[in-house]
Amino acid sequence: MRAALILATKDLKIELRSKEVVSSMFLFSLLIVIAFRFAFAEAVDSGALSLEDLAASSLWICFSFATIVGMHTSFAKEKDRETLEGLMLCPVDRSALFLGKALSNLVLVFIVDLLSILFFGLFFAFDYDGHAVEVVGVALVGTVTLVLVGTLVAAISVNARAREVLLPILLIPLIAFSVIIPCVTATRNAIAGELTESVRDIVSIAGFALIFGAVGYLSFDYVLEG
Amino acid sequence: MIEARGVSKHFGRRKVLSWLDIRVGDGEIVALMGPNGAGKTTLLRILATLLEPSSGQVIIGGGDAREDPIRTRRLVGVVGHSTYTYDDLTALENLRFFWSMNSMPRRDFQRAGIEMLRRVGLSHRMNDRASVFSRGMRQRLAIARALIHSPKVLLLDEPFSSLDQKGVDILTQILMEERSRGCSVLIVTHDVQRIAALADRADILQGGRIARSFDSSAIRRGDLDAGYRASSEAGVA
Amino acid sequence: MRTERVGKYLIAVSAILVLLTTYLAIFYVPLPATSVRSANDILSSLDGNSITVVGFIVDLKVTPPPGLDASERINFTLADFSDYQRYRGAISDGVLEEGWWTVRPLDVLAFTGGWTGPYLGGILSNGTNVSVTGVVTAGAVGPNSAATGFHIGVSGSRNVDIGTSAAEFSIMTAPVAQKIFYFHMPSAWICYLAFFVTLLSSVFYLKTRNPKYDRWAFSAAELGVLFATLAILTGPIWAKQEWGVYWRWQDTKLTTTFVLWLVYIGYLMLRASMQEPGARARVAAVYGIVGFVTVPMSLLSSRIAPLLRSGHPQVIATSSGGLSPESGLTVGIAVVAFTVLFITMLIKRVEVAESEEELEELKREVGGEA
Repeated sequence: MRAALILATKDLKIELRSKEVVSSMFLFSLLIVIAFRFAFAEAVDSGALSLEDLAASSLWICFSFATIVGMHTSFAKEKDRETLEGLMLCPVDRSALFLGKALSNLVLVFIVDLLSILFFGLFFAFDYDGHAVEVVGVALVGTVTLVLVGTLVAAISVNARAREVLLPILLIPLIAFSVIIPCVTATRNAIAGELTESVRDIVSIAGFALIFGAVGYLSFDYVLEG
Repeated sequence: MIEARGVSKHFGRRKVLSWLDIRVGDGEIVALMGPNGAGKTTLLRILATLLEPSSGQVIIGGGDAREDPIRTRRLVGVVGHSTYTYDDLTALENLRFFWSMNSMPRRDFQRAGIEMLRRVGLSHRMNDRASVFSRGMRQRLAIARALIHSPKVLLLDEPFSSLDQKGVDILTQILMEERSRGCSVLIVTHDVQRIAALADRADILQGGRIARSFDSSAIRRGDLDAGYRASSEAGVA
Repeated sequence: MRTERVGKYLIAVSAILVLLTTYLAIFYVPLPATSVRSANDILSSLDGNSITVVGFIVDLKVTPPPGLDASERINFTLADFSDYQRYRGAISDGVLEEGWWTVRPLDVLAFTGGWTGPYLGGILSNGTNVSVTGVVTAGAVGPNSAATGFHIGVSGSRNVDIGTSAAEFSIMTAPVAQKIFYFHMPSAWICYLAFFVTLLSSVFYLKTRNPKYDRWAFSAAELGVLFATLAILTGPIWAKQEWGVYWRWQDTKLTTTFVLWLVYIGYLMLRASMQEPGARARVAAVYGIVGFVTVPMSLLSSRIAPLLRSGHPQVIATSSGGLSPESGLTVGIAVVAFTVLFITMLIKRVEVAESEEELEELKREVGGEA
């Protein structure tokens, strides 16, 4: 899929210059980490809430909301600057546009994932019990699913009025069981060094990546038209 | 070659085009004129595969546009209402992106891209980002973008609108070159004077179909001017 | 004209069927007599893997162990012994003495803090408080725990296990609250059916571009949301009686159905925020297809419940008994009634959608857009 790569390269090059998306996504996710720190200050200090649980849940809330911010920009920018039609005039399959967008979104969201994991560790003086690599691995797998369904839903909502509100409304129910719950479990297990316990979760996340990817790939023709 | 046979388009019950036939041969420049809301842009979007007709057939370069939209898009260059270019990329990078998206061979780009920017008079600004360009320069970049993959069919929607005199001369020159290359050109415009020097034919779109047609001699005689004025007034009434 | 007459018949038939269901649920399905079963007997009937509805405890007979101070307050749990700490708050005043105790509805405390094991708890009160319903007896044991027995504790510093042999239960297998089941289950089934109609119509719309299918997809989704709302509202009425709480997040059936409801609310909002009919139909169809992934998740969630730590009663009872013939018949008629009602409403809704579209067109024409 050469066209998908070219499109993703173009998006990333623009992002490298403007840094609009990554910076807003990262700022957003930083704010969530800080909000969690304040909200659960007492619970964490008193030991009622373990840092492991807080890390697993707040990180995935960060990732999900950062994705919503990123996905939204990805199509809204093309739409608002009237370049979406230019893309549609290119002699490539619409599914290549889907893959290209998903690819550039994946890179951007994953960068934000890494930064969030890093900053969570710094803010809470938390070293993930030495399992940071596994946590990053789970983040990557979950982000793939997140980005595939996110890209599709962002393209669906880009033509609607009030699309900023609509995108989370359409996306969160879809990712609740497919991404957030299994990813939080897997991340908690990863921190505890028991990632093998979460094979079922990982398989289910990957399964949803396949389902959402296939639906997006096949239906993008209809999403981007006219 | 562009050919539309019996093309109709309706949005809900509102009919925009009904049983429209139009034909632009190889090496021919046709001006498409008509009152506001007559469906000129709709027709252009249908020919460019951005919109599906409700019924009828569109043939671009000898093949059915709906059956193989990808082949059609490769043959078509479009200058639309917006430039379709990216502000954060330089002029050359913009062309490179569309060059690659049209699966043109990568190693040939450097020469072809610079040559294209020279034709539209932007070669001295090729490494500047499009965000610093004036409206007219962006329009010239849009023309370069539309032509970068050597299309056989050119569809232009009000291409003169933001061009200064020099830009208009450049575009006129390019269109004549493309015509001699065998390219079919369809221009939507209101500018009777400008098109008079250029067009081989002018079609007036009214009531959802081509109501009148003027050949080049009629255009030069000034019939077009009067006819177009009449149709505009009818359209208003 | 002809479809109008068919519509009238359908409305009449569905009205009669729904009334019939109501009548049967109230008057025909009997409340079974209570039976007395020992705690040991109940425990041995559980298979230890799935949740089994044994019945409601109406009364509990306890034999206090020797050496108890007669004035001590008591609580009672029937649970995995290791979980009993969770129920310690469920204490009421009373003097533990031998004889039958009336069980009050289960206290909410039993459900705090995740998986509660085979939950069966209640507050004992001594005779005077005669609220009937107790708790559904659940014998499900997650993979991580095993049913160890009933426990009756004494509050204060010490908790004394009086063991299973000291308890005997008076059980009612289908109390009044159960009757809402005849509306709850068909509503849930209809919402799945409706969303399936949306899925099919969406696929057909994308294939044919016939606006007819778009109207079907939209109408079915709207009705699906309506019936899902009914299911989500009737469920807690029952749950409050059986579980003591309106909502349990541990029950995957509840949560997946709620998510399903949110998905199709989103579908309706997406449609409402798009104006151009063609684009709206196209984009909504794609979302109607993507959103359907939540339907099997919800539909299957109680089948794979033990794995997912659910507690939702299954329609087809797994071990103990199943439905009585009367209630089986009523369920059957209820499902038919709701299906006919749904078909009727769907046909009518599609007709309304047609008129709405026409109105939209006329408005646009009057609005003077050329």
